[in-house]
Amino acid sequence: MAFTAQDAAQALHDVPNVEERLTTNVNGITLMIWALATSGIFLTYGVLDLMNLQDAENWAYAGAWLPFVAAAMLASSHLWRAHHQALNIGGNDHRWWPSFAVLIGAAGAMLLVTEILLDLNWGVALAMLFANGVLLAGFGVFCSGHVRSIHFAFGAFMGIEAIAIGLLDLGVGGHTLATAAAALIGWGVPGLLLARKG
Amino acid sequence: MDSDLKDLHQPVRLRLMAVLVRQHELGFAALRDGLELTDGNLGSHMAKLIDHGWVTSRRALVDTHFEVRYTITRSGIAAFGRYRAWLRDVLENEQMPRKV
Repeated sequence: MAFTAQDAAQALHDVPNVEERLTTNVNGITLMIWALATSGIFLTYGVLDLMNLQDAENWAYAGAWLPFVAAAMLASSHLWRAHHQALNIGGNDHRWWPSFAVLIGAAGAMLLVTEILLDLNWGVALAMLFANGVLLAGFGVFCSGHVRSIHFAFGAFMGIEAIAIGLLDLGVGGHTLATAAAALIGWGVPGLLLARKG
Repeated sequence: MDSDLKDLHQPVRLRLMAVLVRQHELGFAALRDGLELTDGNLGSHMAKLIDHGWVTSRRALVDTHFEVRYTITRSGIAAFGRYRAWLRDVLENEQMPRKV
């Protein structure tokens, strides 16, 4: 079948914005990286809970998240650097990721303090899960269309999950698995949706 | 249509040129993934564009590996401009569908 002028006009009209498509794809993969990192953190906290650490060993809680965040930041920045090089574009978007990690930490600390003040006794993991939900929904503000809806929906999911897990008596094991699963779904599913869209 | 533009009047090559006009330079993987082409498909169409002098290719060190990068040339931009002018002319004069 011959390629007509109309076909040509349509082909030109349908040319995808390669930069936008690949950026959405990289965004999705980045969310999936953080899904693994955050669920890893929650599993580690669960293991620490089961170990019944002495007071002197509580520093382990403070540092348990570091290897995961460091690995996720390294992978994310590497991914974004490769993406910028592939598209031959400048910009320092990858420098945004350390700020992202600091933001998670700050949001978690803020919620932890609130949780202590309100005497909810939910623990670090739930405060962090709630902070993750707030953060993901916050990212949605900078997106548009259904990408924004996806961010809001899964941000709300993590927030509601944090509250629900806090209200339920699941035991240490159930608590750990529930928070890890919520983080994996909360970050991973939007990541998968964005990566597929890209 | 100019005879040399006939090779541009092809869906994949047209999309490749349109993307390169916009981005100026892109890597093999970005073009392949962005336009959902196979390696062989992209390679064979790019070879034709390179033969015409519309696109140049070079191997560049990207992060830790070498990648083939394609850059549109001035004659490529000019050819694309002439093609668009031809297409506009055809569509405005309602001579569609016009076979090349």
